[in-house]
Amino acid sequence: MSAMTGAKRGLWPRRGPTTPGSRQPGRGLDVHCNAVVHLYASESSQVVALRGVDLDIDSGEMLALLGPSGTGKSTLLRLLSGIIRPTAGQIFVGGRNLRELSARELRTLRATEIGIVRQDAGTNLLPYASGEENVWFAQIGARRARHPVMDPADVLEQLDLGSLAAARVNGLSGGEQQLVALAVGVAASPNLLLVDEPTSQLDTVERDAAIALLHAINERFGSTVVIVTHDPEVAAAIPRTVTIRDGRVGAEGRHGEEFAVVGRDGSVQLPPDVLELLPPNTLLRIHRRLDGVDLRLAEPEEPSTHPAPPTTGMPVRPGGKAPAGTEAVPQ
Amino acid sequence: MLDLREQPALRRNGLMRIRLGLLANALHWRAGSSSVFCLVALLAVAAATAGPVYLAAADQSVLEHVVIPPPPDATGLLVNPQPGLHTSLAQVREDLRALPRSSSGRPFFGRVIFAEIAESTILGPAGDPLAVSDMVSRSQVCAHLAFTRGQCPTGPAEVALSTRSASYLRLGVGSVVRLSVGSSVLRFKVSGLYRAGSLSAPYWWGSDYFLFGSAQSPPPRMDDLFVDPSAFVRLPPAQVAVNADVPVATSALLSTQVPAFRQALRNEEVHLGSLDLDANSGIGSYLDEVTSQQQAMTTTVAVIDLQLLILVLMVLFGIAGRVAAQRDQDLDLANLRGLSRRSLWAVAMREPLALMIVAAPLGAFVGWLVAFAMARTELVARVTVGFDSLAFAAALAASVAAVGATAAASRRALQRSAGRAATLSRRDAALRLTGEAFVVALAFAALVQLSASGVGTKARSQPLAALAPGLIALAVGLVAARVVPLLCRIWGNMKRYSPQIGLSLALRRVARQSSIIRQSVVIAIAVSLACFAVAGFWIDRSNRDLQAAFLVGANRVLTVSVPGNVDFVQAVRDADPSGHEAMAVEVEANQQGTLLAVDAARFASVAAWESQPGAGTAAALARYLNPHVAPAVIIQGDNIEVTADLRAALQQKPSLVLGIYNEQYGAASSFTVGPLSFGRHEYFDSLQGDCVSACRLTSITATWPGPPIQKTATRQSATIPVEIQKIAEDDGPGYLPVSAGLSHAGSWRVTQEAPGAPSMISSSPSGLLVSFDYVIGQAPPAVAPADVPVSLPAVVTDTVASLQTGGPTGSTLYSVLNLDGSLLPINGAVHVAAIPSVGTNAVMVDLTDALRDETLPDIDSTRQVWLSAAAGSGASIVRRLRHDGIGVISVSTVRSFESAFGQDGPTLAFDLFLVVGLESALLATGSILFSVVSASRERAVETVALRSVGLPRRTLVGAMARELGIVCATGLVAGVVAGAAAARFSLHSVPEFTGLSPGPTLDFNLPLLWIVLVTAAAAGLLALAVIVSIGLVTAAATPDKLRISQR
Repeated sequence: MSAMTGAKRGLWPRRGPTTPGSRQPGRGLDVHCNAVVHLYASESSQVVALRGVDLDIDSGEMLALLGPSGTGKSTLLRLLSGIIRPTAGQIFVGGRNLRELSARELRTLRATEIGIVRQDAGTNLLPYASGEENVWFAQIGARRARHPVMDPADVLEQLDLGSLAAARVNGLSGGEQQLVALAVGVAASPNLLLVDEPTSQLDTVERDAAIALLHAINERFGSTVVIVTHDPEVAAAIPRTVTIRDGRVGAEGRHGEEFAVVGRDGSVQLPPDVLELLPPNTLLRIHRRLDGVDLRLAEPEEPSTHPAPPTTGMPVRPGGKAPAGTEAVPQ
Repeated sequence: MLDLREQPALRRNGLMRIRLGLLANALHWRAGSSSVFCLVALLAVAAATAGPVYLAAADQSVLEHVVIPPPPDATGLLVNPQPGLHTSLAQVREDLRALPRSSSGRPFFGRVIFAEIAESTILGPAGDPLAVSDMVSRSQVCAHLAFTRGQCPTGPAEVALSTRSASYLRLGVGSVVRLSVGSSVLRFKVSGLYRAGSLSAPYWWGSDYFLFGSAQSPPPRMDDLFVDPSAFVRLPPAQVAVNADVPVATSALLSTQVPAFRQALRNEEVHLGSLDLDANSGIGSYLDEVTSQQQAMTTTVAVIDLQLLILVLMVLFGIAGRVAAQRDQDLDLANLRGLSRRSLWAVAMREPLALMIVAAPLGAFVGWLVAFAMARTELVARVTVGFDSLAFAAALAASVAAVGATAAASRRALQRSAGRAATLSRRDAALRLTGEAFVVALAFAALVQLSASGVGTKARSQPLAALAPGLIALAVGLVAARVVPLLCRIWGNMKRYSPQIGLSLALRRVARQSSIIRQSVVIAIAVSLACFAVAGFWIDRSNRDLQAAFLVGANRVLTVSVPGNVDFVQAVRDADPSGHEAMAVEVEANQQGTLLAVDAARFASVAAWESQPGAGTAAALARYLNPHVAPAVIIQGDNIEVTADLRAALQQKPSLVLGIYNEQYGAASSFTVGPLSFGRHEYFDSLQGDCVSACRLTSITATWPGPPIQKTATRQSATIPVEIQKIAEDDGPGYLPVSAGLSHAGSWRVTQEAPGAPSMISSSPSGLLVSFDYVIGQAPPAVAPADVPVSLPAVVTDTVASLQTGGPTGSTLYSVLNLDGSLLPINGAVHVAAIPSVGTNAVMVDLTDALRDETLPDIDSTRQVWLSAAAGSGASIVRRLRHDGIGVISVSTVRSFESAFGQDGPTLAFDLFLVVGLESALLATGSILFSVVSASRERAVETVALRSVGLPRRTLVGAMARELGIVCATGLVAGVVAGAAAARFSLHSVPEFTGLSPGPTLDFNLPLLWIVLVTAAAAGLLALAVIVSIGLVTAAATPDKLRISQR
């Protein structure tokens, strides 16, 4: 699927709170995260992984989660798969609130609706089994749930991986293993495919092949595809990107252009370069304009308990237009 | 857009192919651990199966060992008409037509032998009785008689004689014999001559049909006269005794049929009773013995098997846990793919189940093979080794238990896959501690219970005593596995800054990883079982030898038949001039007990005598039994001469009565010498042919007619002083003096005197002066050669002593029945628990003395020749005995008894312990090897990492060796201590030892040499495992491991 496919289908942009809808037949699952918070508890302390993520993904959409290491991308992926439950907030997948599902229902969901491909292809595969057997193994849950599945060989054929069907996984190259791992991810014909760092250990040729395969999956199977990556090349190939920063949705990119995102609580996470101009606790005046919104520094004579805003190096003109990225996208 | 769900469903055959392929690939991927798991599972099933298979075969072996050797008359059904009733043979035959059979149709009883017997007298030409014999018709007799001439009788007027009877009667084939039976006189033609058969042949049912020469008085007795059954038609029924010998088909009897057979036997006895027939069988007591042995055996085998099974399951649990850890990735993926809990279990268990499907039948087969091998070496040869439902159930139960152990071990892996391991490990640790405390408490309670039931304190049969090694080892092993890490922690803290880095590393690992030291529990149990088995085996073996020798009496015992004219004691002495190889023995069982008369002069050299409490060595006992006595006065000839000097002139002349005893015929008689005249005179008398063979002078009694009638009122007693100067015998060439020790007063003694009228004995060079003090109305005074002690020194068993001295006197002087049935005064001063060969209710005396004390004709005492080990097979002695006409009836040897002991149920059961011990040791070694090898990947990474920070290879190898050394040493020490303690504590009560009959004190001292050897062997095996393990880990510790780990 090309990057234009999503635009043609009108999957984006979408903004503002959305009502969790039911899954459209024959298409991928839509995903909605509302103020998702997740803490990892250890014996002595708690680590905040996600601080209130709001995210909407339409069915059949292809999306990349970007961000530096440790910002919570993989945690979000695990939450979307139902392997772990959020500490707070809600996650709707195909209209179902994952918090309200039982462990059994979550397992069924993973077996039939959600495909997961973890970072490091080897962790997704049985090393002793062939590609075909790995696909079959991933279909067991779906088959038990009487979810119709393809013949394992056909799955691989559909993805142009028929040559890897009989080969034992531990004898494949890293790139081939990654391709088989992706095939295993869609083995049970999921409507949502979650892929974590699919290209982290691949060379450029293998990376391109993996990206092409992801597009093929999205295009041929109609699955919603969410990819975690920190590879800009991969991000560039994905029509929609969401950057996670400090456990929140920091920005969103469309076709290579970066946008700030207004959260459901009205908060906006500024891009790093803007944040240098508008450090925390800066007072701003917001003026609505016909074509957008102006952010202006508050007058210095106005009483304030807060420290004075910086007076030097500020690229904000009084009454001027906000820097690129702070302008609201027309509805 | 392509929707996967619209694709055709997976083809079933393709699904199966993939499923099987995946399973095969998984097994191949983990080939090492799969093989070990399969092997241990196989051992588990084999351990469970071998017991029941062996037990079934051993049951049959015990049955055959007990019921087949006895002669048919001991086990068969003897059917006779009830007393006072006459039943025809035809009627008996009819009544026995339908004998019961087993449910499978196999006959319980063999071919019935019918017999008709009539007492008869063989008449001479003038109708005078020439001899006596029985006229006998017995089924199939012709097949059991060896005819030297002629043939078996076929008609009513034909008879078969033995060759010796024919020779005595001067008859041949074709001669006519007239028999008197009751009032009938029958004429028979001799159809053939047979050679007297062997009484030991089963056909004769222990009855003696060949009694030639056994009559105590004329006319002589001939061997039986065999006739055709039709001959009895000529006799009135009252003259004919009828019986039927119904042999039990003991060789075809199966142990599983015993209850049905018992019931059938009872029914048959009742049925025959209703037909006026008495049916008696001794097989009941044999079957009781079988049942008793089987019960003891069943419990012991179950106990032994249970311990092995528990050990195997423990090992299997450990191995399954490690193998399950290797499937963590599979389970993690399965969890990721949303497999249901059931499917997760399927993923966890598919490989163990597949391996169990292979291991279970193989294990059952191996178990059968082990039992088969044991059966071939231990059981009677005829026994077949089958595979019954119990063995099948045991194999199934073991398989289920193995799957259960695997499932329990896989549970942890499932928890890990669900990310719950961290939380559960703390709970599991608490549960494990509680479980171990419970097991230790249970083991302790079981030991206390065993102790309370008498185990360890008294020799009481308790098959559960065999549980002791497992229980003690389990408790000691678990405690050691908890204590040793603490000690290692303390030691490790002391060595924290020591330059001995290897030791410090080893101590830290043992202290911190409980799974390492837990290996020692398996080793402890295995070594304990091995030590207990070996100790028990050797203790049993030495005690069996002791008991066998004691029960037989000597290395080899020949039961012999002695012709009437042979001096048995002398014949044996002649056959063994050395005096160290053969000893004459006579055994007489009577209602009071058994009298064992031995040639005491040879007792110390020949008899198997282990000193018992209350009796000293064999030599001391022999001296005690055979005190110095005067030589016997032997008279042989036609006439006797006594030269006597009556020193007082008595108005009424006294006489001397010489009592003599014919040794050959066992007949006593007396001859009167006198009346004596004052002064020295020679007196003669005829011996009347009684002493053609040797007679022994037993007494000289004075008789006195009493005072003259007119003096009756004044004189009622007389002193008769007589000097006996010479006793001479006339054996043809004239009178020759007999050596009678007349010049030694000590060679004579007063044997009878009236109260208040003591007779005096003194001697002078001219003869023996006896002053007989005779009192009218009292027993006449008598003297006798002091060739027999007054009271025969005797060794008596505690049973006899308690009966005889139970009275108020508590004296050791009392009488028992002699070989001839007369009273034999003995001095039972030496008490023992049992006497060799005759058991607990017996008296042992000197044979020569006992024979000298005989006054009645000998009854049918059993005569034996005991041979020492120095005699070897005793062939030369037997040859010499045969030369004297002494025939050998049967032979008992210590070896045969040892072999027979080895066939006892409890012994057969205990033999299984040896196999278990060996299997346990191998299992423990394999377990150690597997645990190290299965962790070799992690160890290799650790080793490489430590080498990369500068630790030398030697230090790391030393650390691993010390770590494994601590584990093995802990298990080894705990096992040896537990095994030795268990042997000391419980062997007394294992049925194998308590079943032995009383006799010499059993030796329960631990065979330290063998325990040391077992320990050394176990240590060697473990050391080998450690070396191999270290080698494998070192070989795997290549630098790429670290790179892989980092990635």
